[in-house]
Amino acid sequence: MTVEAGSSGQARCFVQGEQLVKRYGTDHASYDALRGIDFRAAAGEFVAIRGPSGCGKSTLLHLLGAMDRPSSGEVWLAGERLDTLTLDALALVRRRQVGFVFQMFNLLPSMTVTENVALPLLLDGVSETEAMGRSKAALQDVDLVALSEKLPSQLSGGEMQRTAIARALAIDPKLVIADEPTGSLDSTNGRLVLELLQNVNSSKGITVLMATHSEEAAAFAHRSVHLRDGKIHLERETSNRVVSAPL
Amino acid sequence: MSFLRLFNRFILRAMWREKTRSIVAALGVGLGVAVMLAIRLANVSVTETFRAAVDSVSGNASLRIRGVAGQFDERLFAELEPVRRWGQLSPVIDTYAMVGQADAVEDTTTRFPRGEMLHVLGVDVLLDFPLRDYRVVRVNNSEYQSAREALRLLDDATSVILTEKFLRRYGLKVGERLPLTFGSTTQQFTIRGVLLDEGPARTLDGNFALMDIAAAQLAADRLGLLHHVDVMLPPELNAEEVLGQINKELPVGLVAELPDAESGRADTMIAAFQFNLTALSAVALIVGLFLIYNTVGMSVASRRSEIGMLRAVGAGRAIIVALFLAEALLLAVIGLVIGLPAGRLLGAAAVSSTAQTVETFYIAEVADASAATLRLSKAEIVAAIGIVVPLACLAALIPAWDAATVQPVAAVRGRARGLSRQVRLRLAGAGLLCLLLGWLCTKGAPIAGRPILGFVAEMILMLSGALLTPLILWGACEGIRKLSHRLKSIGTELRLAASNLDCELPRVSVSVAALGVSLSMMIAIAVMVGSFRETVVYWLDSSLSADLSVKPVMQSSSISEARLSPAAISTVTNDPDVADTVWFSSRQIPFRQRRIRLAITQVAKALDHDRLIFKTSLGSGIPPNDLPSVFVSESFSILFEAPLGSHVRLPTPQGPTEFWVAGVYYDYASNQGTVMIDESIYREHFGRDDPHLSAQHLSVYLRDGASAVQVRQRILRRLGNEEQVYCVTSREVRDEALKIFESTFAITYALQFIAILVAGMGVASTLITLIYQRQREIGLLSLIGATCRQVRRVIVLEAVMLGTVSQIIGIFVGVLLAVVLIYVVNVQSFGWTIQFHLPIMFVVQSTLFVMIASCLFGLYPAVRAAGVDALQTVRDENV
Repeated sequence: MTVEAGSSGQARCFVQGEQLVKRYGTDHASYDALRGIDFRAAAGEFVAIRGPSGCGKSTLLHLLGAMDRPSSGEVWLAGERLDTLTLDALALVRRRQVGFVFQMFNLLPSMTVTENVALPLLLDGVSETEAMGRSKAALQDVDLVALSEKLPSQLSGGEMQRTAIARALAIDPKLVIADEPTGSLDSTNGRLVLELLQNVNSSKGITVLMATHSEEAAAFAHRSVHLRDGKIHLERETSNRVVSAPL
Repeated sequence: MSFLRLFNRFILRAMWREKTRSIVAALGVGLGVAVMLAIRLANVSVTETFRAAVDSVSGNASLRIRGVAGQFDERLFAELEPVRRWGQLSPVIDTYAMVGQADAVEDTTTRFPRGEMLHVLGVDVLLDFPLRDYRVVRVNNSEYQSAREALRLLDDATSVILTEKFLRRYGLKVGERLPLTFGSTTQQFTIRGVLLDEGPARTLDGNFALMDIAAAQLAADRLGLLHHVDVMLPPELNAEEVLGQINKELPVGLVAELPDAESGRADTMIAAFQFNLTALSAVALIVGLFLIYNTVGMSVASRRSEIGMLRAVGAGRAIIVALFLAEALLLAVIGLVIGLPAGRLLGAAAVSSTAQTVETFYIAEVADASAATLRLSKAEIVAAIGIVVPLACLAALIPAWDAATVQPVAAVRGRARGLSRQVRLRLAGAGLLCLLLGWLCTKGAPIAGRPILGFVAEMILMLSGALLTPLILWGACEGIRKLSHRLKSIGTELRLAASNLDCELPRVSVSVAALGVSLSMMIAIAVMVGSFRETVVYWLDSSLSADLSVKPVMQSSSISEARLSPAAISTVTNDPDVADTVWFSSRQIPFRQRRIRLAITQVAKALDHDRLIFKTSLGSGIPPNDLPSVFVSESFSILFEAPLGSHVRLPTPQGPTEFWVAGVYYDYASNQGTVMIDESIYREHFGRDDPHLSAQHLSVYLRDGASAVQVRQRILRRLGNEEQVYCVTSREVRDEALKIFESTFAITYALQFIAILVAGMGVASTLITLIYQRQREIGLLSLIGATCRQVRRVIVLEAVMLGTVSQIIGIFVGVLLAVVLIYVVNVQSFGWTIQFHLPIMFVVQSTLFVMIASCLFGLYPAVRAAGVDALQTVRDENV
């Protein structure tokens, strides 16, 4: 397990959420999606977050992936506190440290596969040549080089999700957030995507946090965290466990 | 569910949700309606004002007898004896005078504004009273109703009766003296009575004066001449029925016509000008309708899945079409509600602009009064509704049908994106075909004297630009995508912008086409006006060879009878530094249902001094049958098909006479059509009706070394206050001509500005809608690390690209439109040949302006895009 020192000097995990509360709505009509969750994941860990719809698993991923800020509580990623950052600073964190894989693939329909993969790099000011080179390398990792000049509309669901994984990998992320990555795929393609994520985790040591309904998908992770009504209900290791997370 | 309930839930709620888009579309239609209505009101108002002036002055006259060549010898009145049995006759001098001691520079010591004109009617009061509705009063508390008593008011040659309105306006009283300038000579007149605001007193907003006919002849230098004789028939006789018979009884050189024939000739003269304005105003409306197409198209595109669901639960195609047509109808109605009152307001500005041009170039008596007669009649409202509602439904029909053909399954799968290569090429092919068709239309002759086919060609060319838009836009997107690799700072955003536009080609093309069409009109007008200006400048520089130009202060294109007095001419010609003078005079004569100008000059001298620039070289042969020769202006040659060497039959006091066209010359001072004739030929053929022919304009050539400014000062000093003349240098004439030129085209610029504004609103509306549709992609950009600034930049770049591509299309189509305007529409409307000139600086400046304006129009959508909730993108998919 890798533990890093936070700004306060206290030992922190690679990804850490402390007393996370996320409240939606107004004062008159609000509900808490997260109700004081403490979450930790070590560097190189593959954690599955499970639970029924509306339990808060996506919300938790959004906070840990620098996509959103909590209503209260702290979020730490690689020793950097995220909950106090501005929106643009959060965008920079996402751009350089976090790769995303979503259920609906979320590729830009107007760009080719290579361009989609290179986009985060280009947005970060990486030169065209370097961005395209890293894009090709990422596509090689997911075995999609042959389709690199295709538009998303010309790909199958599995190919689109592999493109999304390549985009997530192209920036050499420290963390990959996968939100129901197999939700829109058939079982064959779903398995292929999960194997890819597992491979990313094991070969590159990238931390993967994956929200899923599926027990089968969760089995690819080292550890599984069950949420219910905005709280951690249950936490257990899976058969793939290689490291243990401190709690 | 009833249709209204469905409309409320499906359309109204969506319109409310997308308020900005709905408001922009309704405002666009409103502006289009307003512009079209304003021009229509202005045209009607100008025409009606002139007609009202003619009618009020005509009074109860059933017929009018005039000379075939205009004014005629008063001795002919005695020969009208046979006509007297038909009804009462009244001879008339119908002229104009300038109020006050007008000078070349405005005199602030007088209470009258410079150039204040009076329509002066000189009548035999005893004969004329039954014909016109005079009510004359005097201020010493006794009212005079009878002609005999009114006659006493005009018992000397300096008596004048003015209108109550005029006196009130300037605080004048009966008995006061008033300086009036006829031609170049100013005399003092005494106000003897007041005309109540009735009958002829209503003409020119009260700027009307009544004089005794003899006094008017004397004052206007028309001794022994009459302008017309009015005839009042008994009520039982129908004027149209007896017209032919009366004409048979008239002596040679006279003709009888209905009083409104003059209005008809005026209508013919200004018809082309008004037709062109109407055509221009229609552009703003067309752009507004593009907005309706755009809005309904966006509405359909953004709700394909909802439409699919409606279809899935059993809604038929007719209901879907009806729903979206109803949306268009609602937008059109809101547009009308905004546009009708706005059109009435804009109308006042349009009236003053168009009326001034009409008065400057065509007919007097419209500029002051027409704004007062402006009104929004039921007929105008019905016409506006009749034009806008069907066009709006037509504009919405394509997207509405598109919605109706949505298959439920396809709708659920998602909206179609991009435009296939095949469709792009088909559209471009149709565009090229339109180019060909437009070119063929330019070959057509005018229809009823109007360049109908020329305007059809313009419309088809605009359509071709719209059809070529997808291909050009796609090409631009591809080009920019490739170019973006080389741009480090904004390369990624530029590539994203290009990709986004490419992906939304079907929708974006409509907005780009609308903006492109508007810009093309702007470019076309600019090229046409620029070319015209260059041509006029060349013409002025070439033909203004004289050092000084002298003319009476009240001489203008539409009032061409003012003459220089013999004293003024003598003062000028006898100046020691004057080496030579060439004089010009002109009068209006009726010719084939129009009025043309008969210009008289000393031809040999004019040719010596290069005063004329010929379009076709002088014929060297001897005129066939020893016909007298004339030169004709280019507009005359084109309008009346009278090329070099042809014969024209002009009305003269001796009856129609054939003349030989010895040359066609350029003349941009008037498009009425001018026949130029040597003074000797004039005296021979027209002398009977114009025994005292004298100069209206003197071109003065100075001795070498003489100072034009000093000579002018000397001439003006010698003329004193009695003679009111403009004595100006060639440079001043040139500047004044160009000033009039600019003011004439001011309204066309205003119309184009509004069209561009409407199109700009279309671009903003399109972007807002695209952002609404692309929330997921924008959110995704943000998720993968794009900052708010980068998102804003992408949208602003999209806006700039839309504007720039539109401008490129605008320049391409605009130059083609300008070519048609210059070589077809102008020639057929006005008979002017203009040398093509591309104002490069304007093209560069307008391109920069459009890019900056698009950038500004893109700011609001950009801010909206940067505010898109990125998380909503992924939240939605997890529901």
